[in-house]
Formats: sequence, structure tokens, C-alpha cells
Amino acid sequence: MIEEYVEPGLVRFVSRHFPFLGPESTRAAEAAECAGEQSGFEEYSDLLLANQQRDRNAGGFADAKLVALARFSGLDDGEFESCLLAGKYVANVEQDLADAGELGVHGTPSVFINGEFISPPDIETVRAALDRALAASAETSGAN
Amino acid sequence: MMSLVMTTTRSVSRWEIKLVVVTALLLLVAATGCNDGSPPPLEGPDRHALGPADAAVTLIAFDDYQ
Repeated sequence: MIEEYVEPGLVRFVSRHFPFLGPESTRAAEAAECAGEQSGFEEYSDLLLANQQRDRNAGGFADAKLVALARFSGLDDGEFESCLLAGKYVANVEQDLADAGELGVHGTPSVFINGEFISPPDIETVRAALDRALAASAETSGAN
Repeated sequence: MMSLVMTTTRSVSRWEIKLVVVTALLLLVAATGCNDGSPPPLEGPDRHALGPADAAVTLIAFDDYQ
């Protein structure tokens, strides 16, 4: 979908955190932000999702693992670890969580397209919603 | 019965009415969080976004890594 909608410039994709499954959810979100300092947010996020553990909050996303994943993805692990240990993005992640709560988000992934909550958030539904939004936008542009 | 109704009506004094009004206003302020009651901006601080800022369509995804 990134290739189909975002890369051609049709859609803007914004990623926000909703770490509701415990302390390692929160820590992983903060780690992704630290990766973003080195322009590695997307790659590191993909790595986190690929390394999800069946047992939550059991060390799968402990700090040492998060640093190891940063090293694996080619980031400067020293810089990354300093960022993580300093809690540099604690407030940002808390803000996302609070905003999500106010917007009525209860689970993940939760998708909004031009402000409309899309449910269920499966590929087919999201794709259909994107196509509808793009068609509506084209109609509006044509009318002006 | 008439006497009871009159007694009940007269027992609601002006300061009690003021108290109810003030309490209602305080509850209203608390419920709206001292703002206009609108939800927070969906896009938020926009730290991580792909695609042009002026795209016609914006998709925002809230996610958890666990």
C-alpha cells in the first residue's frame, strides 16, 4: 500500500503510538522514536513488528534487546542507547497514548482516513476507504 | 396536602438555587476540560510521516509493537 498510495504522493501516512499492552509496548515505542533520530524509524519499526514475542512483557522488548535490534538495523547503538536510557521520548509516547484515548482508540491497529475511523482495519477495508477518499477528493477538485 | 406543597416550595431558597447553578457550571467546565471540547488533532506532532504534507488523503495509524 505504501508503494501504491504513498510513494506516488496520493496519500500521506502518519504513524502514531498506542502502546497499551504493558511496559514493553511503551519502551518499544520510545525505542522507535530513538531510531527516528537516526532516520531509522520505519526500518526499526518493521524490525520490532517482526520480533514480536508470544509472551508479552517477558523481556522480548527489554532495553538490551531493543539496543541489539538497533545494532542489527545498522544504527549507532551507543547513541541509540543513550537516547533510550535518557527517556528522551517518554512524553511524546505518552502524548500519543493520551490522544488515542481521547479519540476513542481501543486497540491496534486503529486507522483513520481523513478523520474517519476505519473498521475493521484489514487491507481490503482500508484500501476501499482510501479509494473512496481519493475519489471524493478528485470530485471536489473537479468541482472547483 | 396544600400545606405540604407550600412548605416544600418555600424550602428551596435563593441560595440553594444559586448553589445548584454554580455546581452545574463547575461540572460543565470539568467535563469540557476547560477547552472547546473538541478531540485532539488526529495527526498529532507528526514526527513520522510518509508522503507529501499536502496529499489529498491522510491515513493515520495508531499501533503497538507487542
